[in-house]
Amino acid sequence: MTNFIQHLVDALSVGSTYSLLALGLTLVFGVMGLVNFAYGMLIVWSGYAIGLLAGWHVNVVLAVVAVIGVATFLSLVMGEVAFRPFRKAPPLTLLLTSFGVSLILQASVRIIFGEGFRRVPTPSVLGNGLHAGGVRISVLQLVSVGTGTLVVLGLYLLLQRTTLGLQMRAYAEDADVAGMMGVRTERILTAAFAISGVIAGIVAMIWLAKIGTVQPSGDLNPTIKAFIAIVIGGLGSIRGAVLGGLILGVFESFLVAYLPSVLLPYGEALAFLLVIAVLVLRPQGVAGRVVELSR
Amino acid sequence: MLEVKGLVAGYGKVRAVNEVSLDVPAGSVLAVLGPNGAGKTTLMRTICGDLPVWAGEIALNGEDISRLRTDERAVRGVTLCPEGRRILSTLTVEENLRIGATALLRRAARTERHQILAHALERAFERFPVLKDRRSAPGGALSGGQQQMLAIARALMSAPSLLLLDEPSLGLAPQMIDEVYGFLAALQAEGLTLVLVEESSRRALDFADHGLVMKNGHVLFGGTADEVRNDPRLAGVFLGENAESAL
Repeated sequence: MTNFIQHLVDALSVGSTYSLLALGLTLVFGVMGLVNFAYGMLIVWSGYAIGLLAGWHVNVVLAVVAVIGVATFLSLVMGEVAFRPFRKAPPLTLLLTSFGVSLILQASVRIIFGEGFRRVPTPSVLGNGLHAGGVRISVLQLVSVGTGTLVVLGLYLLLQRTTLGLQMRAYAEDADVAGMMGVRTERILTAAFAISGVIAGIVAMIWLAKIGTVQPSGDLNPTIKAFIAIVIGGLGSIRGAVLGGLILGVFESFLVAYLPSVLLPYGEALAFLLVIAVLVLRPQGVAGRVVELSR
Repeated sequence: MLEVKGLVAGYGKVRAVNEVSLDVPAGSVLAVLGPNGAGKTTLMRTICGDLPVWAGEIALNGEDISRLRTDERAVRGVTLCPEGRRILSTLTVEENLRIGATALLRRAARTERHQILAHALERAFERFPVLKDRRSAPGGALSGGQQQMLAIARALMSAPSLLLLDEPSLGLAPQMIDEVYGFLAALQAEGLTLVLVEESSRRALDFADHGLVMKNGHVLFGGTADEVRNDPRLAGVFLGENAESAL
């Protein structure tokens, strides 16, 4: 039983991080139909930013703000430069563009910071843990679940309770009609990329604290996890991203815990089996409707 | 109020509107008629800014608006109630109306917006009580007739000076069409300038002050509603379509 609870705690911690990753990806998808495969590069760039900031001995609070700033800035730049000109193009064009952006961001990391792993320094307090009845909960796990909850709550309030959120939901469903009603449509894309960037910056710190290092191709794993989560949950759905991330977290954690060790190397592949199963049984995702950017 | 001169517009490489000119005096109703594919919807979408102007000019109260974005035209008072209603189905009825008020609120001072929105919502619910009953329902859950009411109510939320209506009676039961035209008559009485696109002409011509008949992107003829109704060419336009029901 203790073991089971321990796995559940781990699953929640991993799952909440996946949910966060998925939120940033699904938001932009909901607004402009783009699966932004350059999204993971925001995490990589945030990782190098953390390294630099730590090297300069910047105060932790300031560093957190700066990392979120870097990710948001990059996200806005890619939105304006690479995606806005193609906003009316077919989804395939957007998809290919996102691969292009990802390659450019990755090459620039290699040129500036070089090949190979770099350690991402984290405050040592994150490694501390609480013990309760044989179950260990680390500060990092608490932080990741807490942050996940706060971001989901914040995003929900933003989308459901503010005028900007209302306009984003309207734009997501029918951009032309939103324009006809007077919505400054050009601002909606900006807002979507800004929020996606903020989320990427936040999740980058948690993600990188968990794995401890960053490398130029470190975008692949988070992008794929986020993508799997939103496919499971339903593309473009906020609730779907949260659920999809949690489901993926639970699935992975329990797989690692209970799978015979011979099968462990196939853990990743099994995650895709889960995706295939969802796509076959419920193609719109667990929480998805056909078109939406909503709860 | 609205002056269109030599307007050319279309989709891709197709010229769907060719050298169209029209003049809508303030407070009047213009009915734009014509068979399927005449360019009526393209004309409406170009006037509201949803499609770009290829050539020609669109002027609102003497100001050239043909290069303005859709949302800027909405702020200046041009609102389209689009073909097929285009209700935001995942938003509630009230949220649809609030989106409709965006242009109105952009004209107002920041401090007054809250009050203006509340007043506009109240007004819409007075005019369309059925929407008040269903204010929290998703737009997609309404019946076709209710959706048409919502589409008109949403367009009116911007307090437009020029309302463009693209086939407001399309797909509605006859009783519902009567109701829609009842609302339009009330708007006309309030002095709103209307441009109405309909495929079938009798109902629209009975209601309008002026008529304009289009075919293949061109204006065939126009005039007062009576002149258009009595024009022998009218029957020819719809020949092969469904001439009898059209007249």
